[in-house]
Amino acid sequence: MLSSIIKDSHPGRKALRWIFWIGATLLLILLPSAVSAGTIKVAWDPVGDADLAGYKVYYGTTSGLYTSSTTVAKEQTATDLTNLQDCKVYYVAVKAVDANGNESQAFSNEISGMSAPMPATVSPNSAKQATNNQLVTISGTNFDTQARPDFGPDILVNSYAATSCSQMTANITITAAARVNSAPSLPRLLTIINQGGPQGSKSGPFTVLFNELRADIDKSGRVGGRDLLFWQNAFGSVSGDPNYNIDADLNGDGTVDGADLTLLAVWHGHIFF
Amino acid sequence: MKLVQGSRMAFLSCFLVLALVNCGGGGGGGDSGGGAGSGVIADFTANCLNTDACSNGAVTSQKGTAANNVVEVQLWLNKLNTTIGEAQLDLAFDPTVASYQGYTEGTALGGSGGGTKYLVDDQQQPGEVLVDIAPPAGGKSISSPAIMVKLTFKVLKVSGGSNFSFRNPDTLNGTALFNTTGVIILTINGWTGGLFSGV
Repeated sequence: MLSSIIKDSHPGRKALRWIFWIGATLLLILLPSAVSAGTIKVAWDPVGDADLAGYKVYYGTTSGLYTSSTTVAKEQTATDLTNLQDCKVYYVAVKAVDANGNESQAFSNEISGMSAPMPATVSPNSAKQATNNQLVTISGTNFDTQARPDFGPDILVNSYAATSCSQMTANITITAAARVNSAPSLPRLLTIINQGGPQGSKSGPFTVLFNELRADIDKSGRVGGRDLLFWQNAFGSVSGDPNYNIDADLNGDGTVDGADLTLLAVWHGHIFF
Repeated sequence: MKLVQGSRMAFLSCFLVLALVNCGGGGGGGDSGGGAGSGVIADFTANCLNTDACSNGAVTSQKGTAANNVVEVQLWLNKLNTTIGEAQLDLAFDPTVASYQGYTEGTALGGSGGGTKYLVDDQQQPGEVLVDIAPPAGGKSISSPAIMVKLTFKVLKVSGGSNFSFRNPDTLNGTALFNTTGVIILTINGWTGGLFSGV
């Protein structure tokens, strides 16, 4: 989105042509961890004029009617609009300000969107590795109509739909070698991405549990024997190593180590069929 | 009880499996008491002594130390000059006659200090002990007979005898010796047990 703003507040002086670019896609530059609820991050291309003193960012909940504003120094080309109401669409535009405090006559192009989405809970909040077509309900705030959940690369999102700005559903498949998140393993990050890129994350609302069938590495029906052999053959390897065996990486953390042996030991001798 | 041993796993394993035997130390005799006053003197008679021809290339069960109602059974590896990737010993006995107490690592496939992993479990069903021993990747070969593991049992009553045997020899879900790629490398006749008795 590109717009031109003509400033002519001092007749007789040359008109300053400021070119703004406020890209909704630039909202993506926001790191999830840096975003708190009720925040919209906007960014624009800098204005190259000697008289530039700063920018004024206008925003409100009605298009073209901006009830709030914030001033930004000329060195900045982005800012966070904070303390916004959840589930409200905000409209944002920018003006340039010169050294005398004069603002450009026209606004930049207007962008709109809700505050960064923020997941809160998932129901059910756990599932085992190798679970297909698990339906989950995600609660949170600021889900737009195109909001998309991301559980990580080892959980496939088959479909999703936002039912309101505070709730969405998803059909997910937890892959067989998905990383286990139960303690002492690390929790899983759930990210919700709104249309255009604004996103928010939360650690731990969904947990992948160990699927005990994976302890039977050789699929013999019983845990032991070759299962320990296969673990030993891959012991110490990491994903990408020649001897790495994803089946022996029981907890899916990319390393075949003692934690996998512990899972093997827990199910040692167990007969599955 | 379940027990895992290995230098890298000692702490974690101890924590996880809540080992009732001394984790990291090679199992042990557990409750070996009861001899004084129990009136039972434990004994074990091997079906094939290591001095007999039947032991050639076989895994045998030999009597170890004995005291009062406790007797040790040594499981010997007599399959020589063959690389062993893993040994799974699925052992059966009459639980009304004998009670498993614990184990001690042998030398045939190495000790946990050298990276050999031991998984020992007697919780699957009464009268069964499952022992898995895996030397480090690449396996291990021996040139003279050696003990893989020693198991300690308490004989519970005066009895004419109770078989101590290998369950399902040469099957994936039973007793087997594997090479380093998981192929079973011992014939069904290569497993010999023995007889518990209490007098």
